[in-house]
This record gives sequence, C-alpha cells and structure tokens, in this order.
Amino acid sequence: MALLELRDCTIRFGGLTAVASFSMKLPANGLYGLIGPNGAGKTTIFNMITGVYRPTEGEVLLAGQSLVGMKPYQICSLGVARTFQNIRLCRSLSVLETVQMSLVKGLSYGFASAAMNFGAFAKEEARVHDFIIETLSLFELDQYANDPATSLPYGDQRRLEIVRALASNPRLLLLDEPAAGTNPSEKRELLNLIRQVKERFEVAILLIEHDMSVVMGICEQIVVLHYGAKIVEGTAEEIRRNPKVIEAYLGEEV
Amino acid sequence: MSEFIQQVINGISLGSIYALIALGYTMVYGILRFINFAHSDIFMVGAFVGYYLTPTIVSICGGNLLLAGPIVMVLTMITCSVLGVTIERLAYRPLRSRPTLTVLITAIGVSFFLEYGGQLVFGPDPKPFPELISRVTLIDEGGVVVTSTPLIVVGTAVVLMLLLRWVVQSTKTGTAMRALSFNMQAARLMGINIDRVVAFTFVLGSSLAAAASLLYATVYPSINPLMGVFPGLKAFVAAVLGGIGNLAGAFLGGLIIGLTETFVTGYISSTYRDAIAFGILILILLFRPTGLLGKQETEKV
Amino acid sequence: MLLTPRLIGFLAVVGIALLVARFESQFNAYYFQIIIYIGINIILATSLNLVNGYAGQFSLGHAGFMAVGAYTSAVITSTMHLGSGVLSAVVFPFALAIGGLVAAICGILVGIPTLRLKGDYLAIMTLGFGEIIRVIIQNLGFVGGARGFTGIAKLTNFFWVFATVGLVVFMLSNLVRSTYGKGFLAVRDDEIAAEAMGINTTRYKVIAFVAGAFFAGLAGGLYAHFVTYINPSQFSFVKSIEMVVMVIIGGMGRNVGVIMAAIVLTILPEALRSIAQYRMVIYSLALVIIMIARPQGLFGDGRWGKRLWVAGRRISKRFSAG
Repeated sequence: MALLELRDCTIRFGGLTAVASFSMKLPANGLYGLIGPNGAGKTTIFNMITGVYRPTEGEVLLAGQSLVGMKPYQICSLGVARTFQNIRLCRSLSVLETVQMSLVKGLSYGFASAAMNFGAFAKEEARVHDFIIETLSLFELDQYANDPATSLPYGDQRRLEIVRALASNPRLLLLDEPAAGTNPSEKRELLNLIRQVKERFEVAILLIEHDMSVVMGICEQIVVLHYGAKIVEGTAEEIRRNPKVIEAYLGEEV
Repeated sequence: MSEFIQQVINGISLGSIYALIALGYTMVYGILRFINFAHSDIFMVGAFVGYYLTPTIVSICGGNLLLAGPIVMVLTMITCSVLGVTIERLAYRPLRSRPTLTVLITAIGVSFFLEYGGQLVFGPDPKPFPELISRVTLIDEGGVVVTSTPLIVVGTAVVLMLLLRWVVQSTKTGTAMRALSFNMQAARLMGINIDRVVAFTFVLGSSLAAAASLLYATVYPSINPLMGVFPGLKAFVAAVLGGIGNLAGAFLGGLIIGLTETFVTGYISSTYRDAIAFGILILILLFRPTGLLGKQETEKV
Repeated sequence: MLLTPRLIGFLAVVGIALLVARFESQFNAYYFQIIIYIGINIILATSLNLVNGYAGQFSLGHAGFMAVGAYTSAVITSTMHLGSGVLSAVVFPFALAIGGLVAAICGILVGIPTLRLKGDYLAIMTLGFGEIIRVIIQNLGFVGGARGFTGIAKLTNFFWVFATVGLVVFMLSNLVRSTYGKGFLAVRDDEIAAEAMGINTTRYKVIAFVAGAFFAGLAGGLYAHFVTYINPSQFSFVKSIEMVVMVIIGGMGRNVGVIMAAIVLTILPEALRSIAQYRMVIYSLALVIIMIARPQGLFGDGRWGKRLWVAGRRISKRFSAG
C-alpha cells in the first residue's frame, strides 16, 4: 500500500477550480517531485494534504487512513511534516527553540508540571534538550543554537526549517520549493541534504520545485501539474522528452 | 398598531443616525484595517461645537432656523473634519506600518484623551442642546404623533449618504479610496497618494459623524463629554453587522440596530437598551463574523 | 521539584513576605495600601501577559475575570461570616482559589467561542464579554447589584498578596522556559507554522486564556478582601485597558518588564494625586506617545531580565556548590 495516496482530489474556491481530479501515489520510501508552472496548484495540493484546505471532492489517504476533515496539527501527529514556500520561522525563537517547537506535541507532561516543575518535567526536558542538540549537530546548525532563527543566512534558514520538520518524526516530508533563492553551491548542498535525510530518517519525501536540476537530480518519479490537473507522471527522462510538459512550460509550438 | 408605526418611525430615525456614524468606522476599517475608537468622540465634539455655535449663528440669521441649521451643520462638519485629519496625521499615520493592535491601543488612547479632556474643557455636567431644527407636528391622529424631527433626521441622513455614494463611486478620490481598500500596495504602485486619500477618508467619516451628532442632539437634547460612548458602540456594532468595510452594510446595520433598540425598549424593557448592542455583537462574531454583506477573506498559505 | 533560580526566588519571596507581614501594623497605612495595590497589579499584569504577551491573543476584557474572582470569594467569606482569626487564615486561600476557579470557568466559556477569531475581532469580542460579565453582575441582586457588595472581611494582608505574587510569577516563569511554553510563543508568532508542527493552537490559546483568567480571579479576590467594598464599575473597560497598558509598556511578553511596568503604573497615579483631575488626560496622552515612539515598551528590552538572571544564577551556584 502506498504511504500517501490522493484520489481524485478537487478543490474549488468560489468559481475557481484550483485543483481538478488530482490523483497520485507515493510509496513509503519514495522521493517524488511535483512540478508545474506558477499557479498550477502545487502548494494547494500540499495544503490539502496537510489539512489547511479541505478538498471539495476526493480523498487524501495516509497509509490507508483518510486525512480529510482533520486539522493540521492532527495530521502532523500522524506523521506528516512540511516546509513552506516563503520560509515560516518564528521570529522570537532561537534556532534551538525553533526545533523545540516540533517536540511540543509529543511531551509527556502537561500544564501543571510545566508551571510547577515537578513530575516528569525534568526528565522530559533533558530528553528534549539532548535530542535537539544531537539533531542540530547532525545538520551543522548547533553553533547557532542560541541565535535568533531569523538571523541565520537564508540557506541556513531553509535548512533549519527542514530540520524543524524532521524533528516532529514524520513518515512523510513535504518540501515546498526548498531550492528557491539558493545559488548553485547551496543547491548542491541541498541535494545532498535531501538524500541524507531520506537515508537516515527513512521518510518519504514529496517536493515541489521549479529548479529542474534539483528535481531531475534526485526525484525517482515526477508529477507534472498544469492548471490544477495532472498532465503527466514519469521518470526524469520521460518527463524531459514529453511534448505536453514542454508545451505547458513554454506555450504551444508555433 | 399606531404604536407600532410610531416605533418604526423612531427606529428608522435612530437607525439613520447610527448609520451615519457607522459609515465612518467602516470606511476607516476598509482602508486601514483598524477600528478607530476615537470616532465616537469626534461625534461628541461635533455636538459641543454645535452647542457653542448655534446661539451665535441663529442670532446672525435673525432666528431663521431653516438658514441657521445648515450653516451650523456645515461649520460643525468642517471643524470635525479638521479634528479627524489632525488625529490621523499625529497619532495614526506614524503607525501605518505597525501591527494593527498597536494602532488600536493608540486609538483607545486618543479616545480617552478626548473624553477626559472634554470633561476638563467642557465640564462633566450635561448641557441642554439648543433648538436647531424646528419641531413641527405634522400628523397627530390615531395615537400616532409624527413631528418634523424624524423626517428631517432621515432626510438629512439619506441626502448625506447619497452624496457619499456619489463621492465614492464617481470621483477620482473616491475611486482611489476603493482601490486602497482592496490592496494598498498595488494602489501605491499605481501612483495613488496614500496620505491624501486617507486624510480624505477621515474628512468624510468625521463630517458624517458631525452631522450625526447634531441630529442626535436634536432628538436627545442633552449633551455631555461621554455621550459618544454608547452611540459609538452601537454604530460600531452596526458596521460589523453589515459587514465591516462595506458601505451599504453600514447603512443596513444602522437601521437594524436602530429598529431593534427601539422595539426592545418599547416592548420589552429599557434596562437592556445598551446591552442589546453587545449581545448582537457577540452573536454576529460567533456566527457570521464577516457580517451580512461582507465577504470572506481567506489567508494565503 | 527542580532546584532552579526561579524556585529559590519564589521561596525567598514567600519567606520575606512572612517576615514583613509580622511588622505590618507598624507601616504607614497609605504606603502600605500602595504596596498592596502593587502586588495585586503585578498579579493582574503578569496574568494578562500570558494571554496577550506570550500567546499573542489580545484580550481587552480581563477585568471581567477579576470581577468574577472578587465577587465569588467575597460571597464565600461573607456567607461563612469570617472575621479575623485562625479559621479565616485557613479558609481565605480556599476562597481565593475557588474565586480563581470560577473565573477560570468563565475563561473557558468566553475563550472557546472567542479564540476562533483573529486580531481586532478577538479584541472586540473580549471587550464585549468583559462588559457582559459586568452587566450580569450589575443585575444580580444578591450580590448588591449596582449598589455593590459591602462588608467584606479585610483578610488580605502583605503575606497573602506577596505569596500569591511569588507563586504566580514562579509558575509563569517556569511555563515560559519549558518546552511546553514554547507552544505559546509559536502560536503567537506564526499560527500556521505552529499547527503544521503539531501544536493544537486552539487548545493552547484556550489554556493561556483560562490560566490568565484564573490568576486574575485570584487578584480579584485579594482586591475584594482589601477594599472591603466592591461594585461592578470598578471592573470596567477602563480597568481592562489599564492592565493592557501595563503589559504593553512592560514589553508584551517579558515578565520582568511587565512587573516593573505594574509597579511604576501603580505608583505614578498616587504620585500625581495632586493633579488628579488631569491624571487621565496625561495618562491617555502618554499612552499615545509611547505607542508611537516606543511600542516595544519601556522595560521590555531584556536588560532588566538579564540583571536579575545573573543575580539568581549566582545565588543558586552558591547553594549547589555549598
């Protein structure tokens, strides 16, 4: 069974159909790409998966369980994490606290323990702290641990957002244009990072990207979206040569 | 039945006044996305300006109220416009790029300043408002007493609102106002002078509030520095009820609130007169926060 | 319980409060009153800080919860005809706690419908509910209605006030430093990102709101048993705004700044008593000026926090080393 399955997902905003009858399957260890011209509906699909939008029609299934109607935080608890097109880091949190944010959901103590510092509090806090430092070192962000998250260079902020998503222990990771605004060397680092993440964390990855070198470089399968509908799905080679894809990006051949 | 008609007339009259005030709230919110708490106090200042001007102007006109009335109204509208624009320039404009809650608190501060300052300057005791609109009994049969007052109130309100509609729809500045309410960034890029359009908006809103205050003071001829609090609140609820940012909504909301208040006071009890507005506010915000005529704004993720 | 600088601070405050309370009767009554008010305002300001500052939910009706706590505890102690004496000393904290709990329940009732809204709408709703609570109390005959509730036992003293201050500040500081507390900050800064990372934002908002209401209720109870006469107009919108101003001037979110703001804003009106009629005019003008010139507050830049933190650290090192 596929880890993620979308079946005939459609979403309409008033008179506008943003996504029409979209279907795809993502296996548990897959690394797929979702591409298409601007406005094709890619982020909207992410939003449907993560519960920000509710599909007007169709199904979103995670390991067979329907996600439709659930709230985003519930979907995250089931193992779906994401990054955002325009990086959404909390401006008053440090790098360490940013990762800490993802661990709030799994805490074994509650309000009373937090306020009075008794019970499982000490142990939990230590566990959380150790985990965060370990994870940050893994991604070479530990030297910034106490710096404000938004003071990091752009590329590191993107990396931090990915780390934050990983800290929530997901089965499925959704990356929304992780290469946006990166220069060629940062892009290479990003490719390595994504490969590393997939191997180390055994997580399925679906990524939205505009940058073809990134997509073609690592994605096993690519789904092409145009005006809200899937026009083609295949490997990098198949996509590259497909006339419909070329037409979608470049317009009709004269 | 006759009492019913009486209540309807009173309700529409009161509602028109609320509508005029509500328009000020809704216009400012539509463009700047914050609630100008001080608007109700501009209303109050209008009443006091009218209070001080009326005797002089009336004597200049030799007791001719038909002449004096409009003159006082125009002068009051001008004064309040100046006040409104000054407040905008000094207190709100510096905060334009700040979070709306900062401006909200500032507006509350300005409101308090006008209220407590008013108590110092005008004295806290209520003052009787002089006659500015002559009261002529037109109909007196079957238990229904219709004086000229509600007719003049509604008439003036309607004329002003039609004028406003014309300004907003047909003039360049009015169109600029509408452009700003949709997307301020785009409007700025199109070369619209934001500061001037905003100032103009405050002129319009404050003038209407001034007119409303004179009409209100004619219906309830006792004025005091805190008189703006409850009418302001009710007008605000009216604006929210109609869909904040929507002009037609402000008018509709005003009428509904005016009628509801009159009927509840008349048929149920007057203790809850002011609490009704709160109740309606809670109900709208719970069930339909965008108001009757408002549209949903979805946040792009 | 973890031995932290905050715990030491809390125990120190309670200890000092006990000590000072013994000499209470020797204080100048006027200055003593101000000190009590300072304590109550600290509790109010820090409780509101949790809602407005940390969780970022703008509440303009907090005085309503204070009123609920005040009236509830007053009803309890009056029904039991408590005078001074050992029995009161035992029952009083319970009365306060129950006042807080009832306020917390009101917090749930108000919070759940209100916290779905954002920004301005949320502020207006809380304002509306604050007024509704006041109007309801005004119409309750058995607590005196608009005429007020008289004859409340004067049970509040230095110890109760500052023990509560210590407890509230202790709890709120712990909360903020914990991982759990980061949830509030995340909700404040970016709700969408917080939800995406698994935080139930509505639940967090409600928790902040209810906790804030509880502490405000405690403050209300302490207030009622100090002034011995309460009426609904003491808990109006103006009171709510005064609390909001303390939080803003204190720097929205920094407990230390908020405490200092509470102290300053309690003393200032008293110091300006000679020009009392101008007081509110000056207050509102100052508010506008501060919002324009320094919206991050006067005490909110973290420097004061650092100084206290360093001091606390030294003390706790002394304890753990020795």
